[in-house]
Amino acid sequence: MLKVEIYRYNPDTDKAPYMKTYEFDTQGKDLMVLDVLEQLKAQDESLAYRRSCREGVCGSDGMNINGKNGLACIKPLSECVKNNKLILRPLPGLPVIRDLVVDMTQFYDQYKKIEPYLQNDTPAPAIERLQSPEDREKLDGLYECILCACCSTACPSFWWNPDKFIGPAGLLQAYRFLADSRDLATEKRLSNLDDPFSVFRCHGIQACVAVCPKGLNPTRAIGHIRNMLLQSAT
Amino acid sequence: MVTSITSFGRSGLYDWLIQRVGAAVMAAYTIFITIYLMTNPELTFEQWHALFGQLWMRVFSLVTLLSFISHAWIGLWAVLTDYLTVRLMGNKATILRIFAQMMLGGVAITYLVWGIEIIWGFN
Amino acid sequence: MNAKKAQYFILCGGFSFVFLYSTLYNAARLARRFNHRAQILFRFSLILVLTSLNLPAMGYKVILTVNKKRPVNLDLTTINLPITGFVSFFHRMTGIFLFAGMAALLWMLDSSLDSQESFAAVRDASANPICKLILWVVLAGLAYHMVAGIRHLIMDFGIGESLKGGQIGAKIALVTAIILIALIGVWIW
Repeated sequence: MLKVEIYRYNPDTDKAPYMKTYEFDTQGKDLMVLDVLEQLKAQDESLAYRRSCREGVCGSDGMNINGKNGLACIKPLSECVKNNKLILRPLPGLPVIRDLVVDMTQFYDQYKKIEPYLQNDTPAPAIERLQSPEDREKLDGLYECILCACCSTACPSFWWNPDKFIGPAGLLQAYRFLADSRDLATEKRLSNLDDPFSVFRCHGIQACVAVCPKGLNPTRAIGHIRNMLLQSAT
Repeated sequence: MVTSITSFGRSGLYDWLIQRVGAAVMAAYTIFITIYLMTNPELTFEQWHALFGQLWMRVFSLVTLLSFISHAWIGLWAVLTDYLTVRLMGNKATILRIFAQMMLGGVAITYLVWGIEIIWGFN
Repeated sequence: MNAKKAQYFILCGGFSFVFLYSTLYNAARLARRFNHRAQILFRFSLILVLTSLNLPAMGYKVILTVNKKRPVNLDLTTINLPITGFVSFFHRMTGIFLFAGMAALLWMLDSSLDSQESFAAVRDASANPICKLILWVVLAGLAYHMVAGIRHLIMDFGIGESLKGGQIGAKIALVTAIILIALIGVWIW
């Protein structure tokens, strides 16, 4: 029997969060963590978590699985269970609404700050703004982000200053628009980032890279942003 | 973007660059002193005294000292604004942080004055 | 007052306002004391007064929902820190330590340059086991901080930024630092 420990907190009945242990029979199958949660929820309806697409695209079920952030729907037990134990906790650093559901406001606020949309004041062409294949390639590894918050909530700098440090997810998207040949707001974007917190709280710990379920690399994107700042300022 | 701050250069890039340039200077100084001490195992006072009496060594030492002060201020300022925050400690954090920054500044200035005295003070 | 009480308060308040409004309005209509324009004005001003009375209660509820102290999962013992995180953590710790340790190094420099006697004093002090230990700890901190710092500089040039690269870099830095610290120990003793 697999021992599943889950962080429980119900604001209406609990004074403080606690860990609840469940016994789970995997019947020898290598299930995904989300499958385990679904079956446990069938027994215990009070269990709360977010989920939607169950295939690592919507980014709803980010959680801390045995100490490491990841998406429950695409994390097989064989990759995370140690000593027959599965410990599920909400994403670190964000306020817990209930059980494994966290309040993502701080995360979205940082995303909003980097103005995550194409800015181009020139008259729009009849069909679309074209891009050379080379320019389009520059967006690979950036646009795939699903905003699951696994990276930002794994980052100590984001834990300490979630209101000032943009965090890996926001910075990856900031670079996604800085690198876009169709975007013309580069200078404004850069000047909005040149303070000691927004970008420069990154100390290259790479906790973000280690947890990203899509295999993206915010550390590298942050390095590119720093280089752009350096080029424009010196 | 956070613009009102008590960091060193008041811009993220500026702080970052100063910290890196300072680091490179300090690394060069450390490596130089290490090599000097290794190649002179039987170092005498006269030799040591003559080394630090030269102008270039005095300038090198002074630049290293300034690098140390700025490098440490930028680094420790980041440490203080990470941990001594209202978020982690409540409202008393602001007073505590300002107090810690003043202490930091006090020690930094002491080091600076003492260091300059050492480097330029003897004949 | 908790969120539930506030909701109750708002609900009761709302009902009593609706009740009050309809009673007054119907009473006025029954009395036929109002012409059409006066009726509209009366209704409008009544709604204004009632909403403004209700606003603080509504605001109170919003504040309650936002400010309700939610727990945060940040028990660091439950979170895996990758090796790159350890290297960075020790970098910070040695940095803080070196700010204090610099006093020892400055004292050594000061004494070594002051006079023949004080130069000899530094030499003698470095023969004392406790002084040796202090010197070793400070130089160990310096060695670690420097190696981790050089790794930082290399990464700033875009080298070793991949997941694998970062982990390999962290391991190289750790091993180099340990070797250097051991060598410094050999040199001191």
